[in-house]
Parts: sequence; structure tokens; C-alpha cells
Amino acid sequence: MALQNKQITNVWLALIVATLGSFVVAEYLAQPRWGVAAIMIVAAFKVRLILRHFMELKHASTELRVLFDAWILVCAGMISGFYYVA
Amino acid sequence: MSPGRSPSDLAVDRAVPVSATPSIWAFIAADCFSFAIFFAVFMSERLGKASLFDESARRLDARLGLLNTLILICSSGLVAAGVAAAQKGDLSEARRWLWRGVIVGGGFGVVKIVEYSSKVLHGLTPLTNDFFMFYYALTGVHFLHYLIGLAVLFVLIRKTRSATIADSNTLLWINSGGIYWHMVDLLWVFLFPMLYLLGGR
Repeated sequence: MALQNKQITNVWLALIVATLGSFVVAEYLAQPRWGVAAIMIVAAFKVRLILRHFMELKHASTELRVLFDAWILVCAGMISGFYYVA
Repeated sequence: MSPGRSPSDLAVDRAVPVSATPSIWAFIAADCFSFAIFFAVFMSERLGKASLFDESARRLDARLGLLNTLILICSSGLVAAGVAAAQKGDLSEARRWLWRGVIVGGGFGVVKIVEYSSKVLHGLTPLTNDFFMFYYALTGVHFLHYLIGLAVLFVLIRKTRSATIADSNTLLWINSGGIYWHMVDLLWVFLFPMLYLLGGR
């Protein structure tokens, strides 16, 4: 089924709110130890929303979905992991 | 007379499944893999130089980075609407959304040029230190992808003009081109926090 405009709007709104939310945490709150992990988790969810909905990956084969979920986990996990180890 | 036909005239009232665009997905996978390597190299180089990296990151204007993130998200949404319209067979509608996507997306380039100019004027160049070398390299590679993406969007707009109906070849182009543009967006979604926000305030 073709992507519906209502769905696009919902995903767009979620992306905007997530972006603004994590920016406020990063820039305006005294950055707690868990701040970076939280920011990367939010980034991971945003990337997943774009892949699944805008790029319609949710209609794809399981292999492709798993591949990109793994990529998201590796990127976000690696950025957070290296940050906390530094 | 509008070149697009009304949806009811067309038999193309279905989405082109992802499996119909295997080539672009192979490309997306390869490109995402490359960027994962870039992220790993940046973060591993940061080990042992965290205070230098963080202090340098704080010299970036996170508000411009935020603005660019919001611009690409909006542009992605507009392009998604264009692709959806094409999938429903309405090429004129698709063209309108794609134009909006291009106009909003163009803002990213403007902000990037303003940002680079400002950095250079303050003496912050790729030669300043390791962080800035990575900053220019990573955002530069992303910017090249962005420019290619803009060119692709223009090609899609032309295809909505030249095609009289949303035939499978036109749809293949529009689906693939849209997917590429969304990739430009999602790569920035990781780049922005990694470069701009990790340093904190």
C-alpha cells in the first residue's frame, strides 16, 4: 500500500519532536553522564523511522530490515561505546 | 492540459515494493556501511583526545547544525509525499511536492556554506586540528552526497514532466531517487549529534 500523507505527517512530527527534544537535552541541560547515550538512542530511533516509513523498508524482506536494524545498532552503539570509553 | 492523469485512469494504484528497487538498496547498504566506518574512525581517533575533540566541537554552532537537521527532515517529508503521489499515479501532484522538497532542501546547502565560511573566517580550517580535519571531511563527504541528491531530485522532477503516465520505469526512478534523498537525511541524523552534540556545553 502506498505511503499515505497522514502517515508521512505523523513520522515527520515524531522526527521534529525527537530532534528538538534531544537538542534541548544536549545544549541546555547540564549534561548528565547518560546524556550522550540518550541522544544516540533518540538518533537511532529517528534513523529507524526514516528507513521504515519514508524509505518503506517495513514492506521489504526480513533480511533487509534486519541488516539495517543491525547497522543502526552498530552505529549508535559504537558512537556511544567509544564515547564512554574515551 | 496537465500531463498527469487522474488516479482513477491509471492502473498504477499500488506501491512499488522495496524488492522492485534492489539496485538502489544495494547502493544504500554500501554507502551506509562506508559511513559506519567513518563514524568508527572518528570515534576511535577521539580516544585519548576527548578534551581536544570536545573543546573543538563546542566551537561549532550547534544551532546551525540543528537547523540543518530540521531542514533535511522537512525536505524528506516533502519528497516522501511526492513519491506517494507518484505511486498513486498523480505525476503533477508528485512534481509539486518534489519542488517543495528541493526548495526546502536547498536551505541545507545555504546554511552549510554560511557555516563553513564563518569557520574559515575564524581561522578554523581542516588543518586546525584532528577534530576539524574530521569535521570538514565528514560533513564534506555528506555535502557531496547532498549535492548528488539535489541533482537526482531535479531529474525526478523532469521525469514527472516527460512521462504522461506513471509507468514502471518512471516509478522506479522516483522510488529510487526518493530513497537516495532519505539516505542523505538519515546520515545527517547520525552526523549531527556525533559532531555537534557530544562535546556538550
